[in-house]
Amino acid sequence: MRTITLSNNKGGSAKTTTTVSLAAAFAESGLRVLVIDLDPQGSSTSWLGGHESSVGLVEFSGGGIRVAELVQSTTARGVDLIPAGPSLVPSGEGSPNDTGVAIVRGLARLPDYWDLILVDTPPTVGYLSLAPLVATDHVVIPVEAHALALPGTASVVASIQRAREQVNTRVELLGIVACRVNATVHAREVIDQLRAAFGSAVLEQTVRETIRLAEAPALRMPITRYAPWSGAAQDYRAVASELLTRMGGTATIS
Amino acid sequence: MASADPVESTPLEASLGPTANAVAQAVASPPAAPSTAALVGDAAGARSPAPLGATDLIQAPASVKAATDDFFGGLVRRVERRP
Repeated sequence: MRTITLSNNKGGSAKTTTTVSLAAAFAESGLRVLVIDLDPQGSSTSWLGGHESSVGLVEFSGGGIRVAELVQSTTARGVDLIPAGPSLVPSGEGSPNDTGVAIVRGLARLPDYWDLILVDTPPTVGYLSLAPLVATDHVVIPVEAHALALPGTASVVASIQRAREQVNTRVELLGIVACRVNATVHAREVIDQLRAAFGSAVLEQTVRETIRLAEAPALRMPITRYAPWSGAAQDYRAVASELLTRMGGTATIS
Repeated sequence: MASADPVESTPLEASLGPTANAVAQAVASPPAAPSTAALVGDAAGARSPAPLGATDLIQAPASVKAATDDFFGGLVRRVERRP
């Protein structure tokens, strides 16, 4: 079982889109996939046809809750979901860092049932985006092909380095995925700058911008099911294949 | 025989009153256009418009590093405090 955290401190970087789309693409290849929605906005939860639950990773961390109570099925075949819930935001006397610790414990308690766990995080630098770095194997950084998205990438890379130095020696940057790429000179220049700064960490495959990706969540389906032959669906399958290769897997997704 | 429409017969300037006078004055004496030197001066006083580049990509803000260290450091201290 491998855990991949999708992280970028910048909003609108296609984290949720990439989480949901990659999960569905991985599952198409026969892998058992679990998506964990740590963004209190619950966008992954909604997109995958799940519903907010009072039983989440925080409650699960304390014991006494069965996995079957925690995990929901989704509209993507082969993809399970731990939805966002109110306990992600501490209330009363609970502190944010206590919640972060509970998330780390909850991740550690999950059974070795899935091949891949994808963690969707909120676009902030805080306990919800940092806690997964304590328990994850890999980090994928989706980046919008836009100049303002560039500095956020450096922030995540810095957080990964600090996590590796302080709490999790195995965490590694699996790849940077350029998303929402359109046919403009600006988008090409942004990708060139990413490659200049981060070299081979930037995936060869990029994800094009398309209205299909905006429509898919309205119907609560991943792009691979809503528009299976669209360019974006093919792009995400190719990204999934490239990531699997980087993880040492042999599966190809077509 | 139709009588004259009282509205149409009112001169436009009379209906607008002072506003029309202000417009007329503005047209007659527009404010002076800024000189090229003044424009260059404004630009020089603004922040440097250097484009985002590779340096921005590899330099994480100090606030991010501090928040990260605070969270991970707190976690390590918790573990160390355990009996």
